[in-house]
Formats: sequence, structure tokens, C-alpha cells
Amino acid sequence: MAAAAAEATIDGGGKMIILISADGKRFEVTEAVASQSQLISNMIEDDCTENGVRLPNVDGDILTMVVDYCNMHAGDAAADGDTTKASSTEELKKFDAELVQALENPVLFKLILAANFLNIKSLLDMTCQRVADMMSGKTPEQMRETFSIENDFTPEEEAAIRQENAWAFDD
Amino acid sequence: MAKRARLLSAAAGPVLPDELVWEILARLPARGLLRCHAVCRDWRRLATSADFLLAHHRHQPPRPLVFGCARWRSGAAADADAAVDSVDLIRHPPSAAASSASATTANTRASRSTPPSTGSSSSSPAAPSTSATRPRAR
Repeated sequence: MAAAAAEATIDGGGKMIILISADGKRFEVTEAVASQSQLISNMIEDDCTENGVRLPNVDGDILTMVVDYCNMHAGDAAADGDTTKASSTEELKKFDAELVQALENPVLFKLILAANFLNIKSLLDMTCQRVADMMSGKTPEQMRETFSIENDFTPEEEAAIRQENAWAFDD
Repeated sequence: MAKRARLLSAAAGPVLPDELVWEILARLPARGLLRCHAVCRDWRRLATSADFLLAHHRHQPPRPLVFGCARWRSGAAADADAAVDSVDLIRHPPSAAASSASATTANTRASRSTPPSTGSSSSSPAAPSTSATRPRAR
């Protein structure tokens, strides 16, 4: 996995960039793919990607998903008319839905953190929307569990809050 | 949201920073958002702030003003199902929306004028509706 990693190769006219996860996994991607991350795009502009980009708070399994996502979406951002890489809109929708449907809490939250850190807006939108969709049928107790939050209301306060908008708490 | 709720043992997974919690809550439908009020103090503060309600509004599909006063006057607040985001500011310019929104809020508050006997001073039941109208009145 580390073979020839440090060498930036030319492939299809795009310069290659090495992304290195927290646990040392290396991913070789084109600039076009990597620059969907605003963070990396800024680094490319500042010419500081030559020795690979270390991402100390993104694990390898999460970065795999991020790289898959960026590879898949490289088409919409970059290529107008270049149909070799660009995936059709339906394909993309299907890919996104499948990616996000399969995820449950710990992984999904890690992906959100990664999307936020790397500043990939479309991925952040999609993952946040997924959490919101998963939350919409949940009770306050279940929400606390999902987000590891302790209830800091007194029972009386909580009852009063529920009373305020009682309709929202009926199942 | 300077002070964070004390956390349980983080078995459930990573804890998201406030700005990401904001992003998620802003995408909830009204019912889910109202349930968030009962999760913890931080969430209640966030979910009732004027800034947040505007951001939340921007994430909701456009929807015309759908509920009438009669519904609230009936006393059956339990079956009204549009609360936070029923005014479409794009179709209804703020001046028009503000007057209808404040009229509605007045009715809402009137119908709930009896505060729960157990309510504490720190979480006044009138607070959310007050903050909800402020941005629209601009």
C-alpha cells in the first residue's frame, strides 16, 4: 500500500496526491478528486501536498469512504463534456443513497467529522441529512443515547417542556 | 452554548461539536425539532435561538401559511401540526409575514396562557414563541 507512495505521478493529465490516514493508510488520488475537499484544495494552492497529506484525525476506514465518495463525485465538479469519468446523475444518487443508508451511528458520526474537517460540503450535507432523517422518529431519550448526552433537566422541567408542545411528543 | 452538557461514557461513538449538532438539528422537521427541546439545556437553548430558527427555516421546503386561528381557539393545541416554520418568507414578504406571524403567536400564547405549575423560571414556556417571532418582525 505504500509502494511508490511519495512519488507524485502523472495520470491522465492530473497530478496525484497521497492522503495518509491517522493509522497510516495511504490513498493515491488525483488533484481533481482531492480538491473536492476545500482543505486539500487550499493546500494544493499553497503547494504543500508534495510529501503526502497527513490527516491525523481521519481513520483509514473512514478515509476509504471519503475517497470513494470523492472519486465518484469528481465528475460533477470538474468535467464538463468529459464523459469518461463523469457518472450520470442517477448513478450518483444511487451511490450516495447506498453509502449513507448502510451507515449507523459511530461510523456515521466519524464520517460527519471527517467531512467537516476536510471541508467537503456536499458530503457534510448528505451525512447530516441522514442523521436528521434517522432522528426524526426518535424520542428525547433515544436522541440522548445517540448523541451521548446526559439529561440535565429536572423531571419537572422536562414535563413542562413536553407540555409546551405536547403534540410533538405523541407517538 | 459555552457550557456543554456533561457527557455519558462515550460508548455510543464520537461526540459532535456544537456547530455540527446545529447542522443536523437544522435539517429536522418541526416535530423532531420540538422533541429536541426536551433533550438537554444546551439543545433547548440552541433550538430556540433566533439565529437557529432562521437557519432551520432555510432548510425546510417552502410551505404556505396553513393553519388558521380557529384551530388554536378550539383549545386542541395537540392536533395543530405546524408550529415553527409555517410561514414562507419567499412567497410572503417579511412585512406581510410578520403581521400574520405575530397574530398567530398572540393566539398561540393566549391559548396557552396558563403556565405549567411546575415550570421553572429558567425555562419560561413563552420563550420559544417570542424568539421565533423576532426575526420575522425585522
